[in-house]
Amino acid sequence: MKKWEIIIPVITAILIISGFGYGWKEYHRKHADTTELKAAVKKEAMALIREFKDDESGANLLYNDKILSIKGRVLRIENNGDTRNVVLGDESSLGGVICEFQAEHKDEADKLQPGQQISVKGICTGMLLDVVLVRCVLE
Amino acid sequence: MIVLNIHKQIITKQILMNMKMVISMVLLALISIAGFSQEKYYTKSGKVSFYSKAPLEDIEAQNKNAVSVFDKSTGQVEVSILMKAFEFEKSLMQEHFNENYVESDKFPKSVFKGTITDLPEADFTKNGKYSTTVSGKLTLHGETKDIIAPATFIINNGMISVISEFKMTLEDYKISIPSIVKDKIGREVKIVIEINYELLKR
Repeated sequence: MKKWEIIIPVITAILIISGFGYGWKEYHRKHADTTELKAAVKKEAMALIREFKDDESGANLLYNDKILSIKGRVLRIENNGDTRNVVLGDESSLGGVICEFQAEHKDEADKLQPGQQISVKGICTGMLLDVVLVRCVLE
Repeated sequence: MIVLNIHKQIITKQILMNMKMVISMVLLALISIAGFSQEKYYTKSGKVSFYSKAPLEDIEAQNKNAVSVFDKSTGQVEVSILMKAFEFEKSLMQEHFNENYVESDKFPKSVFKGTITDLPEADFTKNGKYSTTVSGKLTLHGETKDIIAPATFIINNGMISVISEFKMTLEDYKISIPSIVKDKIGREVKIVIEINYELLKR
């Protein structure tokens, strides 16, 4: 048996196994913890709200799916089962920034007090009445 | 002199009557505003989940930031969600959902506008469960279709919650499935809506 007759099937087998391995890993990939991700944009909560109110489509293009670092005043903390919604903003405004803390990070939200100035990192999903960030963590 | 006094008294009486009328009207207006405001309920943290059973794998996702307004007096209800706020366990599945299926960049929101058609006569202040039917229009992926679904209202010490469950097909909303996974993804999707309303204060 010639050398290449062994090498080619072995390389093919390795490639197929690695391909399946990569596919399997990629398919089962969980979301990265936001703590480990770098913020693409840093902004004040009120400035973000204003941008969305002035031009929602433009702001969607700029910020959706991006990791935002948002500074603002805690308006309230809402208990939503195993998650928490920390609302940042100004009482005088109609909208705020809702930051959803998932179960793994809800303890960080539970320690917060209304009126506190904080910085939150999360993924922007757009605006309904408020701008909504998901998978948030405290910075 | 006596005539002048009588005339003065009549004028004072008229002024007092006019004042009373104005006060009554203002009070009536205030009461009706207060009454009206007590009819509307809202939430910004409604939960919308979907489930799809499939030969390849069951797919499920949750969105816990639905905005909803419910008008108790008319039975009108509205639910809005951001498609990108659906959370999947698997990252790749979420990416495919947003990019290939519901095209969230093009259609970022889904909205349901409807009415509770058989709003119970029972007082919403009485604790209990009320089975109702909601009918309206659901807009998803740029398509609007009629929806009729059962909705159970739960009243607990003045708190209003509602749970609704219905099925929809992906074809109805022109959500195309890539041919490679066509046989592995369920055509029918179960939607579950769970909302705890708060009184809308004005």
